[in-house]
Amino acid sequence: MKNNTCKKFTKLWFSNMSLSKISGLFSLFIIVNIATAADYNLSGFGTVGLSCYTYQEADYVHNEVPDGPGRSRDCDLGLDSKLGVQIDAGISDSLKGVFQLTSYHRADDSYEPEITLANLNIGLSDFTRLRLGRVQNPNFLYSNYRNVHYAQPWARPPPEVYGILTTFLLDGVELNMTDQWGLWDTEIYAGLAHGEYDVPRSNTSGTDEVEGNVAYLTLGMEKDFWQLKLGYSTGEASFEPLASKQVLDPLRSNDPAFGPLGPVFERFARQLDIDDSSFHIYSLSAKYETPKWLVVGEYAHRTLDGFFRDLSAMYLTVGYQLEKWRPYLTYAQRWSGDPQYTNLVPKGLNPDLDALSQGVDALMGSGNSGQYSITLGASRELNSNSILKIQVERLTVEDSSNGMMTNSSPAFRGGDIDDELLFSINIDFVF
Amino acid sequence: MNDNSNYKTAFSMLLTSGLILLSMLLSNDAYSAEPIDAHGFVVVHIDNQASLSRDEIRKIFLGKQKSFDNGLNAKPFLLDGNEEVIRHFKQGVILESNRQMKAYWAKRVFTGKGVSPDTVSTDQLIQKLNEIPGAIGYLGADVQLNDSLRIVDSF
Repeated sequence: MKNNTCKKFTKLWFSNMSLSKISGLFSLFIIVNIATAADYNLSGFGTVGLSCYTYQEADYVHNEVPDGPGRSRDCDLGLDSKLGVQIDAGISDSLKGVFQLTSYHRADDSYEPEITLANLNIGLSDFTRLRLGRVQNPNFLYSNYRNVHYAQPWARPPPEVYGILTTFLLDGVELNMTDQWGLWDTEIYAGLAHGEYDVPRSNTSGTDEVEGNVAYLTLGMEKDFWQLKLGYSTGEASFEPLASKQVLDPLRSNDPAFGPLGPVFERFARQLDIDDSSFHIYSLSAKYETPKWLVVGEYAHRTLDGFFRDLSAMYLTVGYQLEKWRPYLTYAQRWSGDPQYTNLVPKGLNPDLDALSQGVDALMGSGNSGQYSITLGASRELNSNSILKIQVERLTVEDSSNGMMTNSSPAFRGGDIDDELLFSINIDFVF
Repeated sequence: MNDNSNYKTAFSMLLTSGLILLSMLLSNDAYSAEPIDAHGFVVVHIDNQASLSRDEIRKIFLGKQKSFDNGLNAKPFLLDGNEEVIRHFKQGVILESNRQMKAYWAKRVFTGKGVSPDTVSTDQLIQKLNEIPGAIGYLGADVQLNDSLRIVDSF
């Protein structure tokens, strides 16, 4: 829907409805549970982590963390540190509720707790459940418990892959079905939801909002030591960061100075903008895990209509349990496609058009985040509820890419990042 | 960066891991489910005459199966205290290490799919098995079992 007034009203209505639905559902199950003296279970998870980066011209970040080790500071406690608490309430085998709050370094530079789960879980049968409220996207192996690093092999999920599925907090309805296909236990997730989150701006304070509606489908299969997963998400997303607005607004303006190129630039701006733009995310995951060995790999591909480029990414991790320690090695890579559109703003006519054309080049270039990393790490159980993880990551960024870093200095050059190292030491725990 | 070299690197990693995986599959890596001497027994209430395969026991303790074939709701309990028995149960029956099982239940709990079974001592477990018709647990081979309990598996 391209009409701005209608879009703003829909966005406002939907976001309020999402919040009111979550609070309404939670209030409902609290009231019902009190009335029926239901069982409660309180639990939590967290990470205390320190990361240090040798590169000084940009910050290493993941998810929506606004800054991190690198240019902002040599070492950072906020990259992975978090604390989550959860309450589960059950009325019967067929009706349960869950509410989870997680505090971590957010895009607005705060640690304000965020609702990361809030839903009613309704058992339709022994094998089918319906969830209403806030869930987390299950397309990837670890995406629906992305913050629970205790249950993951590394200090953090490889950002090359997990950065593709940024909108992982979803408000809507999800159907979950389990079955047996031959010797394989299968699990299907199908959901319709709305998601929105803030993205920090680079080198300045403030955030930009991403929002979208998504339909997703995941097929998971398990047998013995094997776990396989196929995921697909599709929908429409809107995102207009300040940097793109500064380029697209002039293009849309149909300035008389553009002459006959005005309508051409207007159409070009509509191609570039990410306004209810369609996206598709495909993923394939496989894990083989025994008490001794861990081999896990995932591949994901995303298309998004607009100034962003198509993205592909993969990782492969191999780990082996040696007494108390489990060393692991991970190779991860992300590569960006070519720009979806050709720059229609000509150069060489006048300085204003040259500047606008360079702005368009920079905008389309910002979608190139190609990089690869090799991570060597080791983890060790400290006790029954906590795990120590130590890892060193060597990051290499393509010459024409910005990688996945932020807050870059004028001296930043993607191709210069070849042997920079990120050291991380984290303790993950549950209670 | 040369795209071809990256693809070659990625392919090499995949090929290497595939060879490692093949060697693992050809070797006897899986923990044996047939011990010479039993370390312990999986036990239910004497009135619970349901037939149980090893796979069904595993699924009950992983929260994937909620009831026995006789309709009784399954209520699993984990044992606290005897590390040797616990380790043999988890590796022999559940086919997971203690770490894997902790990670598994953390995943289930924090995705809102359930809570992990209660962990109780040997004496508490025997009491639960006597009182709750659908209770299922595991005890060390050195524990004296009375006539109110029924063994459904050994490990």
